[in-house]
Amino acid sequence: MLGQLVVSSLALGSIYALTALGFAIIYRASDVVNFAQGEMMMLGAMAALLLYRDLHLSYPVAFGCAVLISMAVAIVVERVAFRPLLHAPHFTVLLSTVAIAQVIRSGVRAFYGQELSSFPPAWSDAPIEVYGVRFTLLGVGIIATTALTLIIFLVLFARTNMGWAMRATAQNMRGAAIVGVSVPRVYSQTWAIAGGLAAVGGILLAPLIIITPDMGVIGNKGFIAAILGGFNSLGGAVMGGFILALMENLIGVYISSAFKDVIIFGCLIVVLLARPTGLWGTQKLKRV
Amino acid sequence: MILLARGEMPDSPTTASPEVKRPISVNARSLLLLAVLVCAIPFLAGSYVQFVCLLALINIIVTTGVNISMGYCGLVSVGHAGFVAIGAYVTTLLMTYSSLSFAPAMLCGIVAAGIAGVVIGLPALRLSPLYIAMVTFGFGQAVNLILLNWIEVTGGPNGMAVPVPTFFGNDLSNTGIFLMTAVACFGSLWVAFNISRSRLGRAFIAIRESEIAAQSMGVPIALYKTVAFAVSAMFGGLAGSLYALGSGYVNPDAFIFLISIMYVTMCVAGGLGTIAGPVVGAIILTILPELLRPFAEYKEFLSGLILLGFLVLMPRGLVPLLTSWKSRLMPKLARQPAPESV
Repeated sequence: MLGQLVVSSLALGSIYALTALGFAIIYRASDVVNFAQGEMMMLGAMAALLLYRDLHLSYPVAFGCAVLISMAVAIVVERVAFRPLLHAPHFTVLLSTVAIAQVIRSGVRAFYGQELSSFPPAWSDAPIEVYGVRFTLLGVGIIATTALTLIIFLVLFARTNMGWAMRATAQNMRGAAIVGVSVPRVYSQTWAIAGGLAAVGGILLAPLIIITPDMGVIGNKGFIAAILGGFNSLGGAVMGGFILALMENLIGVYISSAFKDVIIFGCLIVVLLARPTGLWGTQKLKRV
Repeated sequence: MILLARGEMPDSPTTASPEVKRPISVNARSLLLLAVLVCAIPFLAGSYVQFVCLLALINIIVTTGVNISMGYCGLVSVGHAGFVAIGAYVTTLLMTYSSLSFAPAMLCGIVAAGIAGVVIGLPALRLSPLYIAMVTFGFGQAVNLILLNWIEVTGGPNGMAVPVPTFFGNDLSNTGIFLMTAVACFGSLWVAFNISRSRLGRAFIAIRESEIAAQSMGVPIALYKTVAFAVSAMFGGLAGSLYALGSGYVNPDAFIFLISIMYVTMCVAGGLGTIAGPVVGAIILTILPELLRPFAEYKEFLSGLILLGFLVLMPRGLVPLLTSWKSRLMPKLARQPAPESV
């Protein structure tokens, strides 16, 4: 039973992990929680739906195009809702991401209608049983795609000039600018990558749920996962995603599924009391 | 009376020149006139306009509370709808299941919200702003989920009807509730104004500017942060109980995360850390959706765009912007000493 729960949490966990990673890289680079991440997920899923189901493109092509569209939108979002507010108070920037989320959500709804659609799964969702543990090809596909995405991200982040520039900016924006890093370009790249990660999450999530313009609420789970793992630690955010999914399943099965989210918030507050920066986060030192 | 307290944001441009630090002064007579005008609304306007104005007054109470914790003390709260919900539901439940009259029920609602504020404030003491946002977000969600799922008591998603409040044996009319709300609103503003001008308010601002500096000057930050949260939650509780009485019906949909965000937006759009800012923000953002009603399906889209425009063009809010314009255009007026304050 426990093994089964762990296996079935992996697919959901990888989607949370991708979203949480998106939250975390934006936060590290620009000190902002981007509350439009959930809407980027929705946008990815919607774009993939239109390309795959309605325009009959092949799955990988539709997948890639949808991710590219979301990245383009993320760049626009950064330009409109973040760049003009670089020197504004924190709360204002936070709220402008909330406002842009509302614009995206209601824009998609006005364009697409409040229709409920389901995404035809690219892999079979018939259960397979191995050693008493059931899983689906769809789940395996989700996990594999996530793993691939994370590897690509890791290579970009650790091995390319772009990654160096991003890490330098996260460490010290002024210092990075002094040694010749174009900080505005790093912001664009960071937001684009975060948007892409969210879109991958959204497209992978699409076959599991009903797609509506309101599906972005799931982005909140990525936020919670990032908090749990540690907002300024990328690995922590990814782990937070898996832990959150596992906790949800365990509590849903063993305690109560109606009060699942309430209990999770309770656990989260306890975790934060013990480790105020999340499980893997580190405290930023402040000089007076 | 002085309508604007001296609580500009840390890096606001107004702090650069000394004379603009002077608050705009409004004499007591014009404020009295305003109070009379507000109280005249139920006798002049139709029931729809009256209800919108009631909502605006209630929102002013909430945002004034949010402003105390967030604007003065720098503690972000994205779960204030939770406090409002506690105020509303405690009042409703007590009036439904016990024979309490509306006034003690409201008092219990306010106290319950205050206690919730302390409980939420305690973990927040150790945390940085982002995590305080998280805790308050979780609190708001948790309250909403409990209201949705505890069907035997709260009626779940269907909500509850609020019994008609009676006042010395007579049913309290809509006008009576409106007047009560107006009094509560002006009272809250008066309390918030006095807090902002007291030792407590100065301590809040000191904590917002630099926690470490405040602590080393002897400000007990743990105590004051908890107080800030509790006071701010009690304002929410008061607004919630008034909302319950005024609308006659409560359901969890009125207290979702987006509503909490709306309260914060009202404060930021009006101007955090000023007394007038949240008032202006609450009035504008309560009326805006009503004005956009004819646009039906584009309503949300337009209000999102307008909001974004507000934030990008006036990152520090409307009131600080107007204050700095006014002092630039009329430097003499701004430099005049304020008349006697209340």
